[in-house]
This record gives sequence, C-alpha cells and structure tokens, in this order.
Amino acid sequence: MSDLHERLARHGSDAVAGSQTRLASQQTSDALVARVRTGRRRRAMGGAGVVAGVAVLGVGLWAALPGEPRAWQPADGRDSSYVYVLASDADFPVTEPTVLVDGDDATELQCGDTVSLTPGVTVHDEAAFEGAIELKALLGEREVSQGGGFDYASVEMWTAMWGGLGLDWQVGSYLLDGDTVVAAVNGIRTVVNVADAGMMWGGTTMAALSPEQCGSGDEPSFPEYPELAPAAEPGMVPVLVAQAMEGGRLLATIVVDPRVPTAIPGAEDLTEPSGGVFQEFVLPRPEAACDALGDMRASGSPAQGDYVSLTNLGDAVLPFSQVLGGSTIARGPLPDWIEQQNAWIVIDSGEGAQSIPLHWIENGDGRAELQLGGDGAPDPLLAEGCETPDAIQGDGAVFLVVDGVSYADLEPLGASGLFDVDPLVDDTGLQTWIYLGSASQ
Amino acid sequence: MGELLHVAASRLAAYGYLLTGSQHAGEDLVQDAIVKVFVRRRRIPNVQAAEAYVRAAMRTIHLDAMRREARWRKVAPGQVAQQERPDHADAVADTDAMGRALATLSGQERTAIVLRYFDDLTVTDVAAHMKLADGTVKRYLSNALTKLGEQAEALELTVERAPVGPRRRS
Repeated sequence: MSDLHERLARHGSDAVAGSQTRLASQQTSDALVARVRTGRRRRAMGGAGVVAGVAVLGVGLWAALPGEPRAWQPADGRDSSYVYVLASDADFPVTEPTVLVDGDDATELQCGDTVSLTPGVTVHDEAAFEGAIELKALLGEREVSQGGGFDYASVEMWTAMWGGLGLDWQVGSYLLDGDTVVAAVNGIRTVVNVADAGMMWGGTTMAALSPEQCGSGDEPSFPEYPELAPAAEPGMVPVLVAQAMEGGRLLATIVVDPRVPTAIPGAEDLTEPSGGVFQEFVLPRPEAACDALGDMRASGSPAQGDYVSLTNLGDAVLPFSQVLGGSTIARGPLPDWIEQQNAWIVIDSGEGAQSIPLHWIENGDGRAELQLGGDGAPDPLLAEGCETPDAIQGDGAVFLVVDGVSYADLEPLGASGLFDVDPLVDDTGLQTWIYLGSASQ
Repeated sequence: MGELLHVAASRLAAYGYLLTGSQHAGEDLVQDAIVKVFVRRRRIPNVQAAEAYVRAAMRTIHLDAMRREARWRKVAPGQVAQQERPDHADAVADTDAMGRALATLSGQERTAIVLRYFDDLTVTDVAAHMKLADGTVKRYLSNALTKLGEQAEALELTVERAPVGPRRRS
C-alpha cells in the first residue's frame, strides 16, 4: 500500500501550512534554546524526571492492612504493592514532622542528609484524621525508552496513587544507604483539590534512584535512564515519601519502605462501584468442579496478592438486581476483551458462595447481551457429572467473572509483561473478577 | 537546532500532525522532541541525523502520552482533555478525503496506521513501539483499513486487509 504512504505524506504536508513559519521563527528558536538550557542544568544536577498526572475519582475507602516486616528484595518483574490508609478512627500519635519533601533549601530532604524515617503513616495534625488520607504504591520494573530512540531499559520505578478530601500532596523518591540519603528527587506536587467531588486521587510514576542522583525533575515525558542500573546495591533501599497538606498545613507523612510491606486489598476490601467504575481482580482460572468459582469465593478469592485495579465500563453493566433468574447482567457496547468470552456471576448468598454461568444473546442491532442461565454453551468450569445450577439469588458480594484479561488494565500495574498473549486470540488462563456491588434482599 | 528547524520544520510538523491529528499538537510535539533530543549532549553528525533523532523522539513522546492518557482515562474518565482547538489542519481535513478518513480513526488506530504505512515499520516493530501484542496491532490496522476502505473510492486506494485471529465464542 505504497500509495497510502504517499497520500499520508501529501495530506500531512497540506495540513500544516504555517507550521514552517512558526517553528522556524526566532521566537520559537529562543524558547527552545531556553528549554534546552534549563533541561541541561537539571541533567547536570543529576535529576531524574517524573511523569505526573492528576486524577479525580469517587471511590470507597480501602482498609488499613499492616503486614509483617520482611526483608526487601529487588523487584523481579512482579510488583510489590503497598497500601496505607489513615482511617478517621485511627489511633496514631500526633508528632512534629522530621523531614520535608519540599521546603526551602535548609529543611528539604536532600542528598547527604542523615535521617530516621518511620515507615508507614505519621500524623502531624489532628485534621489528618478527617482527610481520608490514602496512598497506594507499587515498586516494580518498568521498560522505559532511552533518548527518544528504540532502545528500552528496564528500570525500577515507583507507581503511586494518593487520595484524600481536598488535599495537596508532595512526593519524593529517595535512596537510602543506612540512614544517609544518597539519592533524592523532591517536590513532585500534585493538587487533588476539586470541590464537591468526593474522594480525590492523584498519581505519579517516578524512578527508584541510583546513587548520586540528586535534584528535582519535571521533564515532560519519561526521562532517559541509560545510567539507571537496578538501584538495589547492597544495603541501599529505595523509599517513597509522600506528605499530605491542607491549606499549607502539613497533615501527615507516609513513608513507603519496601522492607515493611502492607497487603493489597483482599477478600473483604472491596470498592463499591461508582459512576460506571468497577473494581476488578485478576485471578488464575480454576480447574473444573461442580462449583469452581463458588468454591474460590468461599475460600477467600479475590484475595491478598491478586492484581487489582479499577475499570470504567460506563453504563454497559446494568444496575444489579437481587432477583437473578433470567436477568440481563450487561448490555453492549462492552470492551472488546469482554465480548464473547465465557462469563459467570458469583454471589455470596446466605447459604455460601454460588456461581452460575452467563450466556450471550445477540440482539438485532448487532450488540450482545449477557444473561443468566438459559441455553448457553456448556460451562467449561462445570465438571463432568455435575448439575448446572439453577438461577440463584441472595445477598452479599456479587462478581461478574470474565474468562480473560485486559492488557490495558494490567499495564498500570506493571503486570502486562507477564501475559504476552492477545486476549482476543489466545487463552491466557486468567480470569477477571469485576465487583458489581453488594446485594441485599 | 536552527538549521534543523529551517530545513525540516515542515516535514516534522507534518509527521506530528499525522500522529496527533492536530496541527497545534503536532507543533508542540516537534518542540518537545527537539528539547528532549538536544538536552542530552550527544554527537549529531548532520541535520539529517538530527531530524531522525527528533522523529524518533516524537514517536516515543506521542506513544508515552497515549499510554498515560489511556491510563488516566481509565481511572479518571472525563479528566483527560478530549479535543484540541480547531486549526488549519481541521479545515484541510474537512475538505480532503484522506483527512476525512483519518478523522474516523481512533488514536490507537491512527498511530498504528502512521507507524505501519508512513514510517513503514513492520507489524512486529509497530507492536514493539506501541507495547502491544502483534495481534492487537493487527486488529487496529484491520479496523483502520476497514474505515479507510469506506473512503477508498474517494482516496483511490487499494485497501489490503491485515489478517486478524478469530474471536472466541462461547
């Protein structure tokens, strides 16, 4: 289709009349020279860059899940996850801050400082208990491009999301050698203060640093990390420090130390759907049984250690009905990776967890619907000799289980590389459990 | 840098427009890429090499931005900017068959088409750049070619279809 190449070139050329004049102007040249000089100064300081973004989302509260201390080990491609929540009824002492992620030169946490960082949440102001402070962090390997070219390097990165009610956050990435800061990037400020929108979320991705990287970074895209070997030199530990503020008051400090992990949300830590956004978990597909998915739920799935994320299904998934017999669960358009996959409903009824297969109905307009029961295809998880369950109803947590996985959902978790197959074509051996909410009779 | 802009600004802007679908966003992409390339002190033997560096940086920055946008669109629908302001390219697109055809493509489809048919990368290379599975890129290309095929008569194109694996059905 060489003619397509030529047509694209011709169309592109026609569409950018005036661009040559603007880009080659003295004004643009001066601005670019200034940006390059600024960037070179930052590089000379050794600063690493960040990718910053601001998100706003109404979600429920995760529970605090302190874990047992364990030795930190370098990421091996699977992320380590950390979750901190400051609940309103928490019993934390209120102390003065010992470090500042962002301050004047005298107080800001910098390379060479000797510090004593307390892992977890430290409260500095009583108002922190009212701010619904939360931090979720992932430490794992990421592939980043170098120099705008084709080479990719595997580097260790923090991915962090923080939430709260009308809070500003300052976040820094540090490398500690004992109590000494040997690398630091300070002052990633994200304002998540949007009035009357409920819970706010912000987030960033930043490098776990190598020794001697000191400075502040605000490059607009992924930085170049040719020098970033894994940070895990013996005795050195990457930490993430996040500080929540309100109206200039420092409310709390959260220190994420990979030697002191927390658990990610487990079976009883479910986020209620909000505005078409659903919590979803990725689990391995079980062996066939008489009620394989009900057995999984009864044994605690989704559980600590599963990949968990949020997905926006808009209004495709219908409001949950307590009467399940013959109900339509979802109506298109659904994401491609869902349509035509095997699917089930799992519910915690008063008599224990149960599951029932769903089947697809093709509508006249070409859209597909997921419905309970009926004469669908054989249930691949129903073992030989077992009876197909009747329609179920009950109360408790309800999940839509889809026999497949979305790469787009896994990517933010750094997990997509584990599943190098096309979910539309190949069988991943994974399931996605989408939490539809809690039913009550 | 000045020589690069004098010689190649138009070509780079066109490439930026094809990737982003907006003249203004394309120009911004060119400038971001130039900064990225020249911030790093490196030996660039001639203006042709500089243009190649900048084009590669544009591709990387654009793909990174698309991934970030997709990520945040998932967790914060409505918080990601949807539209650039109208520009000259919009006027051209309205009157040009190729412009109308490109306007029907999603961002992923548009990017896949540009990398595959303008940059002449293989499907495998496109997939590597977009960090997608080959099959996913084939699907984007197939969808895009189907849409372009609907404009094929006006474009006088011969649309070839990329093979896509079968869907599973329960």
